[in-house]
Amino acid sequence: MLPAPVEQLITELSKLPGIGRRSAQRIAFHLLRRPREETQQLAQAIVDVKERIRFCERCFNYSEEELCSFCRDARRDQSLICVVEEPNDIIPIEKGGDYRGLYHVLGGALSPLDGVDPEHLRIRELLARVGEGGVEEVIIATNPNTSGESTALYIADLLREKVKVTRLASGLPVGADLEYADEATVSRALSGRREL
Amino acid sequence: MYLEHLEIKGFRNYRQGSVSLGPGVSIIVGRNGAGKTSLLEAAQYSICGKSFRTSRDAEMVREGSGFLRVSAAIETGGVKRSRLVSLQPGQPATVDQGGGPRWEQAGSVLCFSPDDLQLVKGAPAERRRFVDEAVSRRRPAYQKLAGDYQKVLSQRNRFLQRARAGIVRLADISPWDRQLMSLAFQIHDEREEYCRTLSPAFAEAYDRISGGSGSAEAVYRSQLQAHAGEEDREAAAVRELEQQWGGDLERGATSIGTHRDDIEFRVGGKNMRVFGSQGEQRSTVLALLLAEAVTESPGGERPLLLLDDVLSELDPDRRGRLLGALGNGFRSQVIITAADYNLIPVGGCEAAVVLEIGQDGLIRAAEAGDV
Ligand SMILES: [Zn+2]
Repeated sequence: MLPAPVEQLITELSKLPGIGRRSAQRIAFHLLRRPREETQQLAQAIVDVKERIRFCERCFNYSEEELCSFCRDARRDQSLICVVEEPNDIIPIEKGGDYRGLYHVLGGALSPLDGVDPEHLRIRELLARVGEGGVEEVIIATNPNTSGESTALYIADLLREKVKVTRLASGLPVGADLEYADEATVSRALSGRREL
Repeated sequence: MYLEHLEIKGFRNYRQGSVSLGPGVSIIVGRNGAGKTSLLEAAQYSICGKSFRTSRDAEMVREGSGFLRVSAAIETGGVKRSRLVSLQPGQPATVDQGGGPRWEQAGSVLCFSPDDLQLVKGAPAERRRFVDEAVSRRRPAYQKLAGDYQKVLSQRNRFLQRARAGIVRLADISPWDRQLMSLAFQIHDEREEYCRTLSPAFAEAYDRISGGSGSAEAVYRSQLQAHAGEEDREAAAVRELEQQWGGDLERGATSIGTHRDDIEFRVGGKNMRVFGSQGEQRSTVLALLLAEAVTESPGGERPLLLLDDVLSELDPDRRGRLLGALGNGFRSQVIITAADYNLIPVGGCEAAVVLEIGQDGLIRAAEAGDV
């Protein structure tokens, strides 16, 4: 019914999160109507992000260089590490504006049902960072759900003897992921963190 | 809650039907196949969007009719509202709630049909579900708690299976153990408190139905009770769970937790599940329903009780006493179905209104001579 390239675009778009077939069609037809330069910019941005973005070698946040902007910033408090599940969990914490330490991105949370075991997360790398010295407190900011909670307990067990370990206060709405929390809530959760 | 009026179209065997109900007990009489149970089902469906007969909504749509429609006039908290629920097979139901709440919060409905004997006779899971549903109606947050427990339990069981396959180290199960026990005690406390509140009301209702005196009780049984009174009961339970690692690993399943809870209904010290006669078991379920209706919101909105064909299963004495118990002083609205006028005890319940299902689907007051 549709020319093959349009079909192809719709198929690719509908693989995106939250995009159903109908939305994919709308976006495809929208792109067809836009000027050529504009669509080229979009295509280039997608190519660039995959070519130029890699994981920070220290904290595993997205980065253009070996180290991300947080790890390169000497003004940040090097004695604090905030552990999150995914890079996008950093955004609400940064927006809160109170946190001045470093981060560590695990790349997920423990879930036997999904085949996610400790070795699949960047836990060994976290232990190594703490082992290098200079870290006084690790704040665990995994999501307040059953997977995030188990991950927090697991990490706390490994670090407890070595460093102070705290968990964000449960001020976050029940079951709400960090990603969707507003800044004020994140600030409150951060200042009310408790020792694990 | 008071369901004043119900109109149905294309529902089960009804082309159309309608009924007006009083705030007390209504007994709906009709021969088998006349549509008594369907009427109760429509009442429940109009209020909470669920059916006690099926989980497939499309089953309720009359054959040859492309859709069903149920409209209900409901009074809650002194406010009258009309609700209109429509359903076309293959599509989600649409509800026009008339400015009122959508589903569950519209009011609660308690149903009993003869199959519900499983609540007493069946596996512990049936009784846990009864308690969990009751607690959830009182505290909506309990649903999340129960859901989280189920999630952690599945995670732990999968972990055991992965440990048995050599993929993960068994010692790493500890976070799941601790989380499981933390959630388990929260569930334990809710269930225990519920049973403590329910038990005296259950005893009273059982006595009214059976004519006995004061020996019925609902007793909560949980493995976690072993740690009652310990200083850190959670830590003690975690240690006990650790001692089960070997066996759990072998079975790939978790041996300790609230998923092993049970509720014992005892009469005169006798466990009704094991030693109750058919009649005693029936009285037990009815007494539970009555007790739940009374305790659900003391002084507040009472749930609607739907009793499908319960009279035929009771002996004449119990029938009379049940209607007596549902009559004066019992503040819930009750709808009972019966296949035969002979099942309605003479003078058993003065407050009851007897209605009859006519050929045209209209449900009207029975003639004086019928009763
Ligand atoms: Zn970094």
